[in-house]
Amino acid sequence: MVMPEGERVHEDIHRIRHVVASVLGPEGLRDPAPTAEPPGPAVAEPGSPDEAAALLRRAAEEGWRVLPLGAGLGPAEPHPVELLVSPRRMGGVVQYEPADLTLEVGAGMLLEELDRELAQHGQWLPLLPPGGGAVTLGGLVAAGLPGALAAAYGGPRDQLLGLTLADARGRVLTLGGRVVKNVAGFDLVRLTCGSRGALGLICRISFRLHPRPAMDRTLIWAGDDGSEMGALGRRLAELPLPFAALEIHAHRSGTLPDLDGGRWAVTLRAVGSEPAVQRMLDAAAEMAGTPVRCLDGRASEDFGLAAAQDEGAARPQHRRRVLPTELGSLLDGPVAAMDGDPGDQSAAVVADLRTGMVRRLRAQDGGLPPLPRVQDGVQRLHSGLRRVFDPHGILPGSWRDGWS
Amino acid sequence: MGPPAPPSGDVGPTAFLPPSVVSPAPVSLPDSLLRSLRATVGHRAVLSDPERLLVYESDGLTQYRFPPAAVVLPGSAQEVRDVVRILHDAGLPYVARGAGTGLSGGALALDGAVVVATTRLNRILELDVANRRARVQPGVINAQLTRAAAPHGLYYAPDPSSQSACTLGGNVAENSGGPHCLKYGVTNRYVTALTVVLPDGEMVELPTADPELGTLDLVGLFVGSEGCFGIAVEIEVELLPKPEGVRTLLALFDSLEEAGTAVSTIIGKGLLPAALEIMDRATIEAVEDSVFAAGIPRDTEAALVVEFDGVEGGLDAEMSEARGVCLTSGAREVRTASTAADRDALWKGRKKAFGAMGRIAPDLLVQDATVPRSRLPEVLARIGEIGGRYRLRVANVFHAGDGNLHPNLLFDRNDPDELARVEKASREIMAVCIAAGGTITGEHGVGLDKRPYLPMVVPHPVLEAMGQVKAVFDPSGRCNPGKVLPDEYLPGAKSVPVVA
Repeated sequence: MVMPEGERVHEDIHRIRHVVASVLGPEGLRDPAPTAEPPGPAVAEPGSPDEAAALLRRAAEEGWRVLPLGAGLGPAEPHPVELLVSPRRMGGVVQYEPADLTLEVGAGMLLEELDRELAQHGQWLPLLPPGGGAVTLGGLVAAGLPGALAAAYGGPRDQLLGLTLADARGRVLTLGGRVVKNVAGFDLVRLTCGSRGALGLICRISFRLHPRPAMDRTLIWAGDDGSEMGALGRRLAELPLPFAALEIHAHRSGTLPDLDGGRWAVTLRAVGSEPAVQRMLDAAAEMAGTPVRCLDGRASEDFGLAAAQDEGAARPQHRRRVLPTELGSLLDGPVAAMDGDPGDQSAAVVADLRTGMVRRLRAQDGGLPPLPRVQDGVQRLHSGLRRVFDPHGILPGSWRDGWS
Repeated sequence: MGPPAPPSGDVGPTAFLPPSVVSPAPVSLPDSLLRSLRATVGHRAVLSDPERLLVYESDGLTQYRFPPAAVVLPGSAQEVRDVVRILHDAGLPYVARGAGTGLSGGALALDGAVVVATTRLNRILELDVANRRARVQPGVINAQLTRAAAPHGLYYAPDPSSQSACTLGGNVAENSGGPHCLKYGVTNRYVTALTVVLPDGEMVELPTADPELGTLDLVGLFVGSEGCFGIAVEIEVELLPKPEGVRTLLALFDSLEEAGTAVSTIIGKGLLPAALEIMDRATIEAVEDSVFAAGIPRDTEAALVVEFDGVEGGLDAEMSEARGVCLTSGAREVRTASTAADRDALWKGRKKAFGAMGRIAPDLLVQDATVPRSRLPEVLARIGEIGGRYRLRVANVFHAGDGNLHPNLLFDRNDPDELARVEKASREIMAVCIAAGGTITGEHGVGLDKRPYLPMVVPHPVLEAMGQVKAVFDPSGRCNPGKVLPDEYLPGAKSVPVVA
């Protein structure tokens, strides 16, 4: 639930809504005739990068704090803002040339909408962000979070060719391009990816695409002993094979399919040509024994999506990247917690066995290494960089997992 | 102060390539400063004798000569920091230099800059086999890392053609690619952490984007910044397990268009080769006339190298499908290889192409542009037409899978008329690539050479933002001066709004 600060009077909210409608037209205001009194903060939906830039320029003049949204459902945590801005009305394909394996889309398009479009051409964007298919592509890039496919394909930053950003100076910045190799100028595309709204509203995005794999399978091993399962996962991670995903989950709520009673599961996904997938799965089964489950095709995809959706919905959540070899000791904490409190149905931990990205879901960050201190020099760079795009400080400078 | 007028889409008449650009007589550093630098890095690690500076006055873009004021060779990250502090405090410009193999003039010492060479920083600090990572100093040579990782079944994926000489620090600066980045991506995919000395001499570890720390992806921003944001002194990279199997084929065609069609069809079938490389007849002739002769018939119009790698299962099927595509597209001959020695033979012509061109003309302008893959055939035809119209030999070698072209213009700099034609043709080629939806550089960087072209592809507000970002790192503009951005966008220029 988003609430404006208590001292903001109702007139302010009405005035902001009025100004937004005057800048964007009535269709630029999500709820033009609110019935609640006082109404919630305005949700602006600019229809183009130019409109977004004009709105942000006005917001900067007014001194409104602005929160760019992903799917437009609102931030995960209450935050005092005067204006929410959603890219949802900037959806759809801007340019798609299947022969080039590249595509430009509006940032308001949902990942699942894009996936349907790509499937018709036998292509794929191999990203599985927290939230699964229901995230907007703008939110996905702004959050920049790697998902289960990160070890094989990288995160959003590695699939990005270019993007259009409306910044709080009111500029439309067309960054990067739509070719797969491009080093013309400084890489503001990578800077924007994962910036969580701090630099502006992402309006359009160009991605590189991949051929949709002919075969997609997920194997699941389940067990009650976290240490044993961690060791099994480690052995699989040492195989020199390009699995699409390899994760360990400790999960007792949420939406993962029933793991046949096991508290822990190691999941391995292999995609590619049929002989290649078969070769990878045979090697995995030889190393780890017969899995409890083998999901094929759509079921394999759905499993990945369900896990990603579960992760997206979990609150709170904490992430750290550690060395994959450190994962075993890191998982001891959650193992003890789960073994010690069988009544605890909520907490979960998921770790990528190859990148070392570990997430505690619906739990505090106990057991994870402490966050490092950000050096003074780095802090200075950050404030300088934020001022380049947002001189009046109206955008969220630092954000905790705010996209939904 | 208002913004400057947006630059026009055209390039000025003096865009590049005077026969040999030499800056005024080298600047000498005051003795007190030389003493201070020598006290920091040792007497032998500071070069100021003009004859010894000659080596450093040029890089891979040999048309330009800029003698540095001095060359400093620090032996540790701390020494880099101390050297940069001394230069910063003295208000002197400086430029970092790896192996000097860059093709856009990024390591040239403009404004009498001091060269900070990373030659002595050549240690692999840690090879973490279990976690498939390496921590290296910036002067480690690209191929050296792969050699060190090889006994453990690992390798470093980005493989620029200069990999036997170029350094990882230079690769970070240029965001280097290579033939295999079609499947594996370029340098920014593999750099996981960076320790850098900022232009004011502060040493920091750059963060990646982290929602809990509230940090931005400064590692991603630094990679490809062409030495303009500071000097990387420690680089952590991800290593990959060597693929189980590799298959390579070489297909010979009677026209470039047929080879282009084969590339499009291979991609269209959902195959993802590790590499898809083409060289044209002019290149083949140069190779076959040289000591690098690879046994390709001299009347071949296009030679296509296709390489698949990955798990053994499926490689033969992919190879056979690609072979079929080449034959249906009109290949007159397809050679295949699965052993390392046979593969090397098929790659030989491609890998030695640049070296071979030295035989046929005194000078070579290695161009670098990227176009959407589907536009390759028409762009190649236009390049051929431009070459013909200006009576120039153009030899094409390119990463066809990425749409990354390297039209090489052969000339003699002592022929002013030919030089003028090279300049005009080069500009037209850039314009054709941009009009096709491409960009002015795919992997060589902007450096000094492409600076005048940058406004053709990067709009004014973005150039302005890039200048402001540069100013955040380097407000005085003394870290690799005169590179990447046109002067009016660099710190100090009136047109760049000051970021308080």
